[in-house]
Amino acid sequence: MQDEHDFEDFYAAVFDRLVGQLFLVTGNLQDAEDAVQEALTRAALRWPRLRRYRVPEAWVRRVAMNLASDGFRRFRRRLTVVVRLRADLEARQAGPAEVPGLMEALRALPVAQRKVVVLHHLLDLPVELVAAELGVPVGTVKSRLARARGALAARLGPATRAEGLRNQEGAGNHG
Amino acid sequence: MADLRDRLAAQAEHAAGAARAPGPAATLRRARGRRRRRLGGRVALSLLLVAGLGGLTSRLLEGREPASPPQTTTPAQRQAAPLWTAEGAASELMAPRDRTQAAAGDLVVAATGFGPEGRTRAYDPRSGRQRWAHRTGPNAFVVAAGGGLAVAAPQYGPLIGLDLATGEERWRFELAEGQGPESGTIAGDTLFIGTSFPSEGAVDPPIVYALDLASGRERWRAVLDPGTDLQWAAPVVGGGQVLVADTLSHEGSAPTSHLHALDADTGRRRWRADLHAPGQGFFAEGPVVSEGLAYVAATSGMLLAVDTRTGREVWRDQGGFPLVAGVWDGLVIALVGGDRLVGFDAATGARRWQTPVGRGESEQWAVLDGDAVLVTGDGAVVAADAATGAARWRAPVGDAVGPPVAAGERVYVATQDRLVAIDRASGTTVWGSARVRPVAAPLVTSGRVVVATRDGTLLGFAP
Repeated sequence: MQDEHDFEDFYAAVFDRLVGQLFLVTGNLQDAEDAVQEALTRAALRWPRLRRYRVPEAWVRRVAMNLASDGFRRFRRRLTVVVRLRADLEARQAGPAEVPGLMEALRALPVAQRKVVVLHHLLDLPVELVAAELGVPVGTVKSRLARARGALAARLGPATRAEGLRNQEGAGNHG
Repeated sequence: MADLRDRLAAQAEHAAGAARAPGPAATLRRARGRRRRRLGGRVALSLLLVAGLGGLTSRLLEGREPASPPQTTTPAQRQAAPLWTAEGAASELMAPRDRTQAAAGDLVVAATGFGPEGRTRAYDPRSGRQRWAHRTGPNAFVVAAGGGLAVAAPQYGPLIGLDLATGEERWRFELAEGQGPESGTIAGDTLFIGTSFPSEGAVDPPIVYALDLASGRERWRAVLDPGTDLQWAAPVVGGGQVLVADTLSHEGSAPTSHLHALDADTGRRRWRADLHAPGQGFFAEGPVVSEGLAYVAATSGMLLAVDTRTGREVWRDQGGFPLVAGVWDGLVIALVGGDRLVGFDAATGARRWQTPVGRGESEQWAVLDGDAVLVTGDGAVVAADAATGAARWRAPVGDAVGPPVAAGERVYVATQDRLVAIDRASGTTVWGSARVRPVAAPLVTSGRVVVATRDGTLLGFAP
């Protein structure tokens, strides 16, 4: 029972925060909620062991990030297909308020680039940890960051380029 | 909010504030359910099936009477237990329903779908015995099967040709980063398969390949229109050409969608027909070709008849979103608007008959079965006469998760709760399984009815 109480506390502490982070990757609140919920279900299955981790939240985020792949998005997007599924379309959830321009710019990036942006720029993880979390080489992370930065700067304007990204030039040494 | 981090943090906070958590209790229940399935294994599942949980399900379902049935049939007479179960074979809950299992030769090939395991396995449908397994890579799907090969692929490729008899890897065909395979069609000694770049925001054009089936060597590739993705239906091959339909990659990424005809020998585009569909929609149902016309549903809700030699639009119907069941005796029969079945004159598009079949409140399928049309949706299967549209029977079995499958004297339907066998002539429910939660239509092969369930198990039933 203690395990379950612990899990309930953990769930309450992380769900909203992780959905917020995953929203930046998926660009869609429903997808973000589904990915986080699925990751937390898997965490519940492993909780006796997972609760002893230093940061169980990182495990859940990694699983949710993996789930928030293009394929998963694509599966979810199938709902848009079916014009005949009127009930689903009507029940579609309204999204959260959006920071002007940001989501449009993020949605224009491939999902893989969005993930490195969130992990590196929002969560301040150094590229080595980003690479470990995503299971890709450090060079790949740097390359994705570089491409993402270029695309974001182009869309979000010079202010972002000057202020938001100026500290990220040495991405490999960051953090 | 000057810098990127602040903007990201603000946006994440907005989304967190809008999040709706199912709650820890629901999550723990869901996890316990999975744990039970894992621990219980085959014995527990078999006991559950015999013990009568399905009987309860049957009674509940029987209570869901249709609003105005042309004919209400008797409920399930018999609860059927599976002859065999194979765990860990098919996709789990989140996989697309239509790309994780296939019947090929005398085998059932199943892939694990989304997940890190990424295996493709082949089973003997008679015994459920695994013939072979191949580690395909994360997120494995079966994209085509036939001609002695099963072609499997992780989410972004490569395409992997597996010997159907042994599971031995014959070849690999690499795809570019971000390039994902759709469904393929095997015709003769060639695999025709479309690929798209499905990342949100990507506008790379889809590419259709013709590969030598034996070697995986590329014969040709056709690059289609930027800003589009291919729909999910496999290419339709016939008359020396390959038909594929595209859709918009995302809103506004292209002016409209098209049906493309490619030369089957060279890949050269013969024509493309405007589908008048400036929105996005992925259909698992491809165009239906008959007597020189291709009948295709567009996301705009039109049914279009296109000349397969020229691409010229011959007629169109805009009476509601269409789902084409097939062509029978000069009639194109389609479910239109979710609530009526329509028989169109195949040559002119004139409506010869129409008959109400439901309310269109759940996902529907319509297939042609000889001189009958079978429609699933709104908790029932309806059989209608193809010549007149007159309803023959209605079987209230529950909401289907795939098209009905007619074989021998039966029509098999996988519903959200169970697998049901219906008498093809009368519509009487002959048997139903216990609650097994299928994910797709059953496969009927080698004297067995095989269905995949949400926990990744394959179940084989006697017909």
